[in-house]
Amino acid sequence: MEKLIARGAEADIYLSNWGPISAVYKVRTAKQYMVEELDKKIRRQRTVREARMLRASRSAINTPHVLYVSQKKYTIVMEYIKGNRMLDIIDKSPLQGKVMGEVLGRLHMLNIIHGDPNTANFLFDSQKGKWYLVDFGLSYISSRKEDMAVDLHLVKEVIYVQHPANFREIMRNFYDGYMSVSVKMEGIIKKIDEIERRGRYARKRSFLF
Amino acid sequence: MTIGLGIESTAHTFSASVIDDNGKIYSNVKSVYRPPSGSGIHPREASRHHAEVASSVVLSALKEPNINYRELDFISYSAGPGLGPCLRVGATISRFIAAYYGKPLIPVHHGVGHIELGSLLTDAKDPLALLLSGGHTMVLAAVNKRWGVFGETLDLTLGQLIDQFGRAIGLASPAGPAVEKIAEKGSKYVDMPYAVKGNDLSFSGLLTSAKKKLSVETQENLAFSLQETAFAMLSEVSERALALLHKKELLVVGGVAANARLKQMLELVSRRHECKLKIVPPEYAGDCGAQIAWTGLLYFKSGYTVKPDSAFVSQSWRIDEVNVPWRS
Repeated sequence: MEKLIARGAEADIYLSNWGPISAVYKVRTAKQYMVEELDKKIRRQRTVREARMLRASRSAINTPHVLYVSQKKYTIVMEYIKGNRMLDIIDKSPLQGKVMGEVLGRLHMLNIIHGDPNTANFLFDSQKGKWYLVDFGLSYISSRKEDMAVDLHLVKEVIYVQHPANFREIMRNFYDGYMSVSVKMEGIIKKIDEIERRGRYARKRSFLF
Repeated sequence: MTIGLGIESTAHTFSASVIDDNGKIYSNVKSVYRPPSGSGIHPREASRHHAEVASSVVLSALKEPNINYRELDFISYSAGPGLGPCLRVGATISRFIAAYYGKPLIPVHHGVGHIELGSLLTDAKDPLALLLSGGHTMVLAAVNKRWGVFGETLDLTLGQLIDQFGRAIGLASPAGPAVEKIAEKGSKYVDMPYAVKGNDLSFSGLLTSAKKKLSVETQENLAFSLQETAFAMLSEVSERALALLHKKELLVVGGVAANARLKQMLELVSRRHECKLKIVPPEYAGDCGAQIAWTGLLYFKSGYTVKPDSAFVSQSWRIDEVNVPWRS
């Protein structure tokens, strides 16, 4: 029997079975507020992208196995990861920021930009002792440093709003983790500052502080 | 009872307002600078307008409720972000009144002003706030006694996007209401770039695309498609924030809050996430003195004032660097 386990901005997540294994059904439902053409375009694009990127990322990081994709129903069926979210762990253990950095760094080394690297998308499966990254709907292929820097800027934004008490410590650990796996990334902080200066009002808070 | 004066002069509007600590707005007098059709605000021209109307606007704000300077507990002014020459008009007149009558002076962040007045008027307690003024497009929530930015535009603001498109089809700035009317007559959705990056937005590609298509598509259909795309992007980012932060109120403030189609879309977003949509009343959506007066009052109650000789303006002042001690 299908059970709704999460309702995100993008999709409804159901827990069910796929043959003998438990699986997650990620269904991108119609958005009532959008004109139909736009809504369908986005849902189709993201379903295809997510399935493709989940598979492409597996050579560098852990992602759930894709079991089935339906473009018509805007649905991806994937392996269920029974785990805890970084969101609920990181304030107790800011050191885990390092893991986030490593995972994202490895992904960038494949030229994959995640597009939505918030702390709810990093899952720890304690039985297997492995970290997983999920939610690839906004991800894409790019070798541009600029695009990687946007990913890092998003991490910073999310940590600041969701984990303000440990912002500095988490960011420092994140940076250490990121730099330990990614090569030729010395200029990345400069690039982030550049992006942030392009915004309306310049930030004084740099990436690490 | 505490009663104070607020003066707003960040961009095209010069406005003054008197408010008390019950949130009663005694007056909210405005004078808006209108640039010629097809062009934007010229900072010098706007500041000239402000300087000309300043004294009569402030005087009528006091005259309407029959209050004199001596009865005021503080003077507050918009210190930024905004156009330098315009900000200085408001700051100078406020500093003068404060120094002459020996009143405490309070610099207020324009964006915080929008959010706090919106919270007052819609009775929002701990909202997710969409700040959609000419200079801001941001999704915010109170964090560590500041307004933390959950997502924002990486280039143009929503107001600028609509305004610049309006100017490209020969409308006068601010063009929002006129573009909305034209969009109502459009019916065909023209494909345009949809750029949501995590919680952030990018509108520059959308503007370029809409302008380019002016030669092959009707203004009506383009205005319609531009609004549909931009508002859908904003709705999606709002949804993401609601899903993650679990706020029970969605507050919409700033000039673009007056758009009916946006309201309709956010209504659907709110319903899906079981939260209450709170939109600032149209007469207070645009820039006004009341937003400065009310926020000034919140600072005054928190014991924060400055000496007239340390009054400042800041053209690019980030909202998440401003302390708001009355918030959680």
